[in-house]
Order: sequence, then structure tokens, then C-alpha cells
Amino acid sequence: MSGNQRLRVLLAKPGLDGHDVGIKAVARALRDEGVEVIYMGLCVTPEVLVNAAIQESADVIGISCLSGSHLMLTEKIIKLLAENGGGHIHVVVGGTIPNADADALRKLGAKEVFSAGSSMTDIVEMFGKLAA
Amino acid sequence: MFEQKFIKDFALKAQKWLDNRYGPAVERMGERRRSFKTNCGLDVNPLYTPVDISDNDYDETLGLPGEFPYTRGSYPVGYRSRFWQPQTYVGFGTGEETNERLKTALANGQSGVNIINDLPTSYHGIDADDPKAEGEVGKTGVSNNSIEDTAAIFRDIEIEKLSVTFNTTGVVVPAMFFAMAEERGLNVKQLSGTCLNNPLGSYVSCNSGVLPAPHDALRELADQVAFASEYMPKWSAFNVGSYEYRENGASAVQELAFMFGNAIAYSEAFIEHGVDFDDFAPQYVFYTSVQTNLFEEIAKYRAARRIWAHLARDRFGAKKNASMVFRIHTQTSGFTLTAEQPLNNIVRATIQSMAAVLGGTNSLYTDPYDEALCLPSELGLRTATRTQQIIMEESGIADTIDPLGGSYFVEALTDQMEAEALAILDQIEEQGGMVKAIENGWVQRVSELSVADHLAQVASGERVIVGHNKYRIDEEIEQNLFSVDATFEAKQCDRLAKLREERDDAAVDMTLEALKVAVNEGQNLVRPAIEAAKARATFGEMTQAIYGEMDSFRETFNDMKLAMHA
Repeated sequence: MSGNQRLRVLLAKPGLDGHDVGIKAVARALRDEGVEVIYMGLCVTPEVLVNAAIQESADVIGISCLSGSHLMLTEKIIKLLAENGGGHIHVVVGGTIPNADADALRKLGAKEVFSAGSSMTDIVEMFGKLAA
Repeated sequence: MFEQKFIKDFALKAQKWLDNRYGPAVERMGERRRSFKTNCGLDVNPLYTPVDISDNDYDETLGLPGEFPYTRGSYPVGYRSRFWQPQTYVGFGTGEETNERLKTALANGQSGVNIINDLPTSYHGIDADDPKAEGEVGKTGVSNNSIEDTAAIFRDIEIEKLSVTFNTTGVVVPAMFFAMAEERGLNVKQLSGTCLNNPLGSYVSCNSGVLPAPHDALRELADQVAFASEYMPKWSAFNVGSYEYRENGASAVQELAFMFGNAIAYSEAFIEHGVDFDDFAPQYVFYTSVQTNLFEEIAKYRAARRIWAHLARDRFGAKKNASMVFRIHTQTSGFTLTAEQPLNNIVRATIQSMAAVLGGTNSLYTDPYDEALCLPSELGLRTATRTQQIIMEESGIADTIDPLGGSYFVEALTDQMEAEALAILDQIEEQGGMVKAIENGWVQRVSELSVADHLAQVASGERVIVGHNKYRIDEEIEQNLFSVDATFEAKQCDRLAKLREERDDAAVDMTLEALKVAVNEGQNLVRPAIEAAKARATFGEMTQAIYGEMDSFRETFNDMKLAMHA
């Protein structure tokens, strides 16, 4: 955590899916709340993502997965973070996540999971708690 | 449309009514909202009367069905001879699974199918065994990597009796289909259908990772248009799509503007390629979304017909009727569906489908109710099919042409939407056209602002989404209704390995070389692609052969860095 500085969040879409309406909306909402947001765009590989998160001293990584590859990607990201000294960085996952998978993601180490139907208010609130 | 004296007198009467009847009633009872607007922000008055459309000349503004400017309908018969073409979307796993789904759909009464390819195939030009495809194969569509996959999709199905759509951009997927048809002994002229082929929309919304630079993407498209013009009377090489823009957040009037921005950009590209407007425009099929504000959507279709008629005739000098007529495919909106209380989506899809029919769509795909949660289940698909069938058989709304023509509200709204759309189109043209507006990031920004607006209204409760921000229930949102078997990926990789082993590599190399030569020498790409497919070149190999010779497109504007500094 960056102590008493503003929360730094790195948002990206790993995997091949290019539907970014949701993640861009989250980026905008967080920015409006005073969060420092770095949005990396699409097709960001776990390696590039983790590297950037560490370089940018991100507090949180947020990923959006709409194509069903969330388990594989999250597992890779968390593993790479641990191996590269980024184990303190939280990972938050959003997307079309079945309930059973949401539990599995949390077990893998994801801080929070936001499935379809989540409200923007809840998402922003959760990030707010991480800043505290 | 009305006599001057009548309008003068009526205007006074209407004002009196507003002052003496409506006003006081509203003072006593209040109004539900502080302002009434359509979703795209146009004011909705308490009442519309002849005064609102008094300036319109019937012949100029409306015309009769099948006559310029086609506001009342593209065809003289409307739906009296044939209903719109219902469509169903299928695609997941490998060819076999999709083939089964297809057969079920046909048994349910469908005759139009849209084959959805998975992400590696649709947007990234790679085969299932490419390392980048790991975890993504067959998940959101069918893995279609060769002529044999295409054959598996359509096994035991008489393609010459179907209308087939491929939801992809690029020459390779349709070429594999044409190749497969020829191997069956058919002639491509027997094939009926279309390909989405909307590179401009793809740059913005699905953000295809593989498309080349606009001028090359447009060339690839022009080749397909020329091929279809010459050999395939029942095939539309592409759709002028606005669905991607709308579902990416644009409003209904922005959707109209982007739709025609696209049409202008595509038309200019084909003209530059030496094809006459009247030779390619008859192939045009537009592709739109339809959301839940009923009258806004109906007016949208009517405005679209009128806008296109004028563009075709006045800007592009169309002489043929078929060039000025507006043909449109509709898919109901995914954006508007909720994960909460999913059965409510059946109602939404019904309203949306009715809007499309009352608007005069040529074909229609109704989203299944579980669209927000997962790939559609069989029950979801069947219910969507039944929705259209009930509208067809039980509602009577298709029994007369343009039933809402003459409604003071709908006519006024049609006029307003046309005006707003043209104003936005002017802004696009001022930037140098749609391609520039996309390269500038303008189209994306406009859409994002619309989304932000929408979300702000949802958060404040000003825009109600039933089940989401009002009328919620305590529910466990079940998201495991249908999930794709993880073994498909391995199966598909094995299949590819076998294909590569069994084919004649020398023949494949020759056809891929011929494809590259065609790219560089400006020859039509379709026939060389068909031949490569027959030689068993894979989808990825053919795509790379083509795009490797073209200019790539690094679109940095979507890598928006939102870093905020204190």
C-alpha cells in the first residue's frame, strides 16, 4: 500500500476479448472519486500487466474478463505477482463470472470479484475501502 | 399536410387545451418526472397534434411504401407477402457442437442462421493452437479454423436453403464457406446470406486485434463486394453496422450518424476501387441494435430510410431503386439486458422486437433472456424464436405497412431524429469522415460520454432499470446456466494437428504464396482464398498471409491512459 497517498489502480483487459465499455466506465468512475487510474487497454498479457503494476507502484490491479478465461488469467497474474515481489498488490476481477468461479477466484487470492449485475456504487465503495 | 386555416385554428385550440385543461390538471396531480425525454435526450411533449407536423409535405417527407424517400417502407408489400427473416445465432465449441445447435434451431422453425466464431477466429486471426488463444477457444463462439471445421458446422444441412450470416470481418471465413459449398458441388451463386464485415465498427467496439489499417481493410472489403456483385446475386458481402456503436454506448441518434458515417466511408472506398455506386449499393444491408424505448426506435428506422434515400440519390447520384432502398438487419440489444431476474429480459426483448417490426426491419435476431449471463441456453434460444413467432402469428402488427405512419408523435419524432443525426453526421464530415473520426478517437469519446451519462442516470435513479435499481429482489444471481466444456480446446488443437499432417504442404504453400501475390498486385482476394481453403490452409495461416502483406493499425487512442495527477 502506498500509505497516505491516493490509491493507485491499474486497470486492464487481459485475454482476447475486446469489449471494454465496462472497464472504461469503471476507470472513469474511480477517477471521479479521486483514485489514480492507469488504464492499459486491451490484450494485455499477464506478464506485461504484472510488470507494469510493479513499475507503477500500483496498489490494485483490476481486470475485466468477459470471455470465460478469468480463472486461467487470474491464476497467472497472482502467480507472477508473487514471483516478482508484487504479492502485496490486490487483484480485483470483474466480468461474467459464475458463482462457483467467484469462490474459486477468491481462493486463488483475488481480493474481490464483481459479476454481472454489480452496481458501480458497490465497486467504487470497495476500492474506497482499499484506500483506507 | 394540412390546410393552413385548419392549422391556425387548431394551434389556438391546442394552446387553450394546454393552458386550461392540461396545465391545471398537472398542477393538481404533478407529473411523474421533471422532464420527459427519449433515451437519446429528445423532449417528449404531453401531446402531439397536426400542428407538430403541419410543415411536412406528404410526398416529400413520407412517400408511399417502396417509393422515394421510403419513409413508410422499403417495399410496396411490407410484410404482407413474407415476414422479416428471423435469425438465430449459434456458435460455441467445435463444429460438431455448433452443428447440433444449428439443427435444433432449424427444427424450431428458424431459417436464418448467424454463425458466431470464437475470439481467436473473430478478432485475432489466429488458430486454436496459437499460444495467444489459450483459454479462449470455443468459449464465445465456434472455433472455425479450416474448411473442415466449416464443413463440420454445416454437416447434413442444406445450405442452399438457408440464409447464412457470418459475424466476422475479413475474407477468410466466408471464403472457407464458399470453398466448402463448391466441394459439395454447389455454385456460389446459390448461396444466400451475408458477412458482417464491418472493420470501422470493429476498430471501435470489439477492438479487433488483427485488422490492418483502414485503407487495407477497406480494400479487403471491396474485393468481397466486387466478387459478390459478379458471382453471388443472393449474397451481401457485408453489413453497414451500427450495432457495435450503439452497444458500445452511443445513443440512438449517434447510432444513426455513425451508421451513415460508415456507409459514406465504405461507399467512397468502393468508388475509389472503381466500382459504380449502383453496382454495389444494392448489396447494402445495414445492421442495427434496437433498445427498449419503443417509439424512439420506431422513429429511428423511419428516419434511417429517409436519410439513406437522400444520401444515395443526392450525394452519390444513385439511379437504381435498389441503391436507394434501405435494407436492415436488427439484433435486439445486449446492453439493456440484466443479470438480475433474467426472465424480465424476455419482456425487454419482446418490446425491442416489436419496435423493430413496427420500424420495418428485414431480418431480426432476438436476444435470449440469459444473454447477460452466459452463452445462450437452448431454452433461451427457443424462447427467443417463439417471441418472434408469437409476434408474427398472434399480434397482427405486421398485417399492415407502416402502421404508425401518420401518428403525430411518431412523425414528429422521425423528423427530429433525422435532424439530430444529420447534425452529428456533419460533425463527422467536418473531421474528414468516419475513418478520421475513429482515428481521432472522437467516436469512442462520444460513446463513452453517453455511457457515463447513462450510468449517472442509473445511479441517481433517473433512469430505471427494473430489477437492477428498482424492484430488486433478494436473489442469488445464478451465472452458471451454460458453460463451455474446457475439453473443446484440446480437441480443436488435435484436429488442427491432424489436418496439418494429412494435407499436402507443397500445395498449401503454393496457394498461400498466390494469396500474398494477390494482395501485393491488387488482385481480387476471394478466389485465391477459396483455393487456399481447399488446399487445407488453416484460417490463421490464410489470415497471416494476407495481413502480413498489409499495413498494420496501431490504434493508440484505445490505450487511454487515465493517470490522474494531484
